[in-house]
Order: sequence, then C-alpha cells, then structure tokens
Amino acid sequence: MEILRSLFLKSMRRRGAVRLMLGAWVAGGLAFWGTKSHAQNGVSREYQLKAVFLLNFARFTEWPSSAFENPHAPLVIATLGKNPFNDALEDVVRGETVNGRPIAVAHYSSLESIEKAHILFICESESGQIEKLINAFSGKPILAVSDLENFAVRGGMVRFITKNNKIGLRVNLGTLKASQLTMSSKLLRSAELVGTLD
Amino acid sequence: MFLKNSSVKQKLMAIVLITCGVVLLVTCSAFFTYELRTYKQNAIEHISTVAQLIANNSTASLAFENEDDARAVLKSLKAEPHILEAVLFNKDGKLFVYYPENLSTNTFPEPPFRLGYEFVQSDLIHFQPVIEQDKKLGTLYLRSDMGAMNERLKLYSLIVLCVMVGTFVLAYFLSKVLQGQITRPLLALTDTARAVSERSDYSVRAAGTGNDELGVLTLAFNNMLEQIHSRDIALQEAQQKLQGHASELERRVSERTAKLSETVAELEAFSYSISHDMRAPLRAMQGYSSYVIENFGDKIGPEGMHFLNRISRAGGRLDNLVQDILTYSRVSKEHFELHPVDLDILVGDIVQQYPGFQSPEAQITVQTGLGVVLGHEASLTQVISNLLGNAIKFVKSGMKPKISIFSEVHGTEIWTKIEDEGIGIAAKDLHRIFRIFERVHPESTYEGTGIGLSIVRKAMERMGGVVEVESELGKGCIFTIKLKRA
Repeated sequence: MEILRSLFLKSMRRRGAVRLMLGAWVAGGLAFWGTKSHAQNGVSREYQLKAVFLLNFARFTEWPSSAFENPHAPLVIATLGKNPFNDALEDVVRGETVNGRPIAVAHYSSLESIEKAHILFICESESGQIEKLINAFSGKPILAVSDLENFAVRGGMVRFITKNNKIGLRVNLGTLKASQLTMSSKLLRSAELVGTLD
Repeated sequence: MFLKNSSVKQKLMAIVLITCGVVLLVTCSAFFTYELRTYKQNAIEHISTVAQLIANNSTASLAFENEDDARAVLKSLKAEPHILEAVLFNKDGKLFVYYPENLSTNTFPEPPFRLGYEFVQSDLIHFQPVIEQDKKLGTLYLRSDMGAMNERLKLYSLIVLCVMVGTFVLAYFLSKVLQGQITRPLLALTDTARAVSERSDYSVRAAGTGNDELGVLTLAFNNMLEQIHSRDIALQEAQQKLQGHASELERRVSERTAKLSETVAELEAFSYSISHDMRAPLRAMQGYSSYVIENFGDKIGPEGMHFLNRISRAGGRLDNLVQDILTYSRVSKEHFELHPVDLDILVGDIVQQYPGFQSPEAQITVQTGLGVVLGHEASLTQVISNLLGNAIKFVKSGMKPKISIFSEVHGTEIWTKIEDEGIGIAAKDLHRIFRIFERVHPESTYEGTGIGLSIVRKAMERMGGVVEVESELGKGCIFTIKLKRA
C-alpha cells in the first residue's frame, strides 16, 4: 500500500511539474502577446496596470446619485492633460459595467474643457497647476487620481506611488470625505492614508 | 431455533438482550450516521463561510495588487486551526498569495478550478471565487483538515461502545431480576407437574400468583389437579367396593360349590349304594325265574312260560342298567393315575376279546401306529369298547358294520378317530348324545341304557382329554378322542 501510494504521489508530482512547465510556457506566450499588445498601444506595463486600477476604483467607490444624470448614465473615467495611456484605458473598460452602468472614457486637455468626470486622472503635464486643480475639485464628487509628487499630501484624493516596481495607493481621507464619495474600507485598507477626517 | 432446548429463563434473557442489542445498534448507527452527516454538513458550511469572508476581504487586495494586505487577510485564518492551506489566485489563475508562509508552492492546485467543496482523502477543499461588483477578481483555495471529524467519530464510537456495553450489562442484570416474574410461577408449575407425574400425587398444588395469564394457568392447573384428585379418590373407593363385591362373590361361589359337590357326592353315593344293593335282589329274581322255567316249565303251561321269560329278560335289562350306572360312578369317582398306554395293543386286545367285533359280524380296519398316549388303561378300554359297540350297534338292520380306526398327531396331542358307516346322528341331536340317560332312538329300535357315551365323556374328562363327534344323518359318524402324547 505504502509503496503504491508513494509511486502515485511521485507520478502526481511529475505530472504537476509538467503542468507547471506547461503553465510557464503559456504564461510566457501570454506575456509575449502582452508585450505585443503593449507595443500596439505603445504604453508601459505601469500605465496598463494604472488603467486597470482606475477601473477598479469604480468598483470600490460609491458616488452620490446626484453625480449621475440618470440611473443608466455612464460612469466616466477621464484624463486631464497629456494622456499617457494611449488606448490602454479604452481597452481596459471595453465591455465592462459597474452597478449596471456602462463606462465611458474621456480625455480633456484643460480644466475648463472638463464636461463630465467621475474618475479623473491628472497627468504629469499638469504638474504646474496642482494647487489650482485641487481647489477646483475640492468638495465635488470627483475621484481625482494622480502620479504627481505630494498630490495626496497636498489635498489631492488618491495618488499612485511606484515603489519597488509596485504601484501603491495613498488616499487623503479629508479630501475623500469632503467629496461626498464613499470608498470601500477594503480599498482603504490596502491604501496608505493621509489627512484627517475633520 | 438455537434456543430450542434452553430453559425459559435463558430464552427470556436472550430475547431481552437480543432486542436490547439490536435496538441499541440501530439507534447508535442512526445517531452515528446523523452525526457524521451533520458534521460534514457543518464542516462544508463552515469552510464555505470562511471562504466567503476571506474572499470578500481580499477583493481590494486583488484589485489593487496589494500582496501585503492580502497576506494580512489570510493571516486572520490563524483563528481557524483546521484550515491547513489558503491560497489566493488572481483572475488569470496565477498565484497571488498563500498562507501559511511555510507552504511548498508545488502542491498548489492549478486552473481551471472547480468551484465549491470537495472531500479529498481526509481533507475538505474549497474553491471560492473572489468577486466585487459582479467582477471576478480571483479565486480563493482553502484546504481544511477533517482530522477533527475523525477524532470526534472515534470519540463517538468509544461512547457508543461504552453505552452498548453498559446497557447490555444493565439489561442483563435487569432481565435476570425481572424474568423471575415469569419464570417463578412457571417453575412452580413445572415442579408441581413433575411431582404429579413422578409420584402420582394429586394432592400437591402449584403456588398461585397474580391475575396474569400465568396466574390463570396456575389456577386452571390446580383446578385440574383438584378434579383429578377427587376422581382418583372416587376411583379408589369404587375399586375397593368392587373388590369387596368380588371377594363376597367368590366366597358365595365357593360356598355354593362346596354345598353342590357335597350334594353331588351324596347323590352319587346314594345312587351307587342303591345300584349295588339292587343287584342282590335282582340276581335272586333272575336266578329263581330261571329255576322255575327249567324245573316247572311243563307244569306252568306255555302262557305262564311266556310271562316268565319276559320277567327274566326285564331282569337282564335292569342288570345292564345297574352295571352301567356302577361303571359311570366308578369312572367318575375312582382315583387313577395316568400312564403311557400303547393304543395298538389296547385296541388289538379289545377287538380280539369281543366276538361281536370280529368277522363276519363286523369289519373293523385298524391302522397300525395308533401311537402311545397318556391315559388310564381300564378307562381307555371302556371308552374304546363303548365307541366300537355303538358303531356296530347303530347300523340299518341287515347291514354289516364297517369301522376304521386311525390316529393323527396334532402337536402334543394324538387324535384317535373311530369312523363308521352307520345311520349317523342328526345335527339337532349331536349336543344331546353325551348326556346321561339321553337316547336318540327308542329302546325298541336299538336297545341300550343311554349311559354308554356319558361314561365315555366322563372317562375322557378324567384323563384330561376330550371326545368329539362329527356326523350327518345317514352318513355314519366319526368319534375323535384327543389325548396327550406319552
């Protein structure tokens, strides 16, 4: 019995190893395909991931109903400034819905040109007018995200922090509260928090 | 049945114990099965709950690729010691984080994952999708140890075993005590029945018990004994009475027999003495009438002679009668002992001595080898000469008598037969011929005293034998005398 069992386990392990190799090969293929698509929309893995994160914010955040014109109005993910995503954002949101709402992508070149945005990514090109932008969005149901240095510390809502080849989140609780948005505690738990609630 | 020959006590106890055992076994099995099911169900529900909780808490970690947070979430499983492995895979099925940290990643399952629970060997595994807002973000894999269940089942088995043994022992002692309710009256009944059958003592009674069936049975049994007892007593009384009657009857019979034989003896003595005393006057009458005929015949005249001759002949007949009666009484009374008698010699002598038995008067054929019998020679001579005399006498007038004598051996007896071709005897008369003074024919046809066959019968009886006759009217007769072989 014991011998049979050990033989069986061995064979299982060997099979497992084969499967692992197969998996690695497939993953490699996918990675290759990924870099190919990366080459297509010409965006780095970092922004690919950030595009996914922007979409995921939609799933972990609740907007006041006043933020939408009607229950079926699309949730708009927008960029402000020089778009670093190319088509990555469009690729990520294709076919996705959140709470039954379709998702739209918009690119705005200036603060004045912004028509509708629920999640707004402030691009590096706007580094000069951070204070102005922060003030402009303060108290509005807009989830403003940026890569810019000290964005959250200075009153911005969410900042992507790249550290050790990983993207982390920093959330300013005061700004969040003032914006009437409700962010899932699960999101908050995985984020670094700044600011105070009062 | 295996209990067929054991006592009621053993049967009762066996019934109780078997019933108890079976009931316990069934109950415990049901309990056990239920427990197993419940435990499995609970384990499944529990792992499903835990999985949902962890998955729900891991959504953001997966969504924002925060491995530290995911690890922290999985670490909360520390509170669940039965969870051996927990692994989070991202939405592509790639390993994200796992718990505890010392696991070998080689043994982790690989996609595609079959959602839901499954028992693998002694463990329970569960795959839970990690979903946020209908969006699948990854998969959680949990492996739970079912060793606890096995531990618990072992404990249950032990408890069941203890309960069974305990109950069995309890049932044993209880039944041992309680079965007395049934067996005690039964044993009392059995003892009583045994006493009755072994000693035929119907006065014993079974000890009575309550009003149940056994009580009724005991009562009925006692009633039965009561009845038998009273009948037994009645029977004994009746027997005693009967015995009294019988002995009374016997006494009376012997009394009467004594009286009767006394009378018979008196009668016989009387007839003997009369016969004997009659002979002297009879001789005188015969003698003097012969004398008168010889010496004074011419003086009396022919008519006187005729009457005198009649007187003489009548005297002769009376003498024959007296002689026969004397012979009969002698045969009846004489004491004699039995000796072997050679019938060949005896019959030969008889035939030779009597002129009437010889040719040409008669034709007598005697077969040789008649045999030797136990008898009294003189009486046997009387018997055979009487029978031969009858055979010669009872023929149609003018016929020559033809007689044959022969013997047959029957066991210890010799049957000697005397067969004639005479006139025979009618069936209605057969029963009369051996009685004294009975005559079938009037004396005027065949003279005789009517005593001859009585003498034959009496003599045969005295010798312990029998005389029989077969006959038909006109066809002769066969007389058979049966005697013991010497």
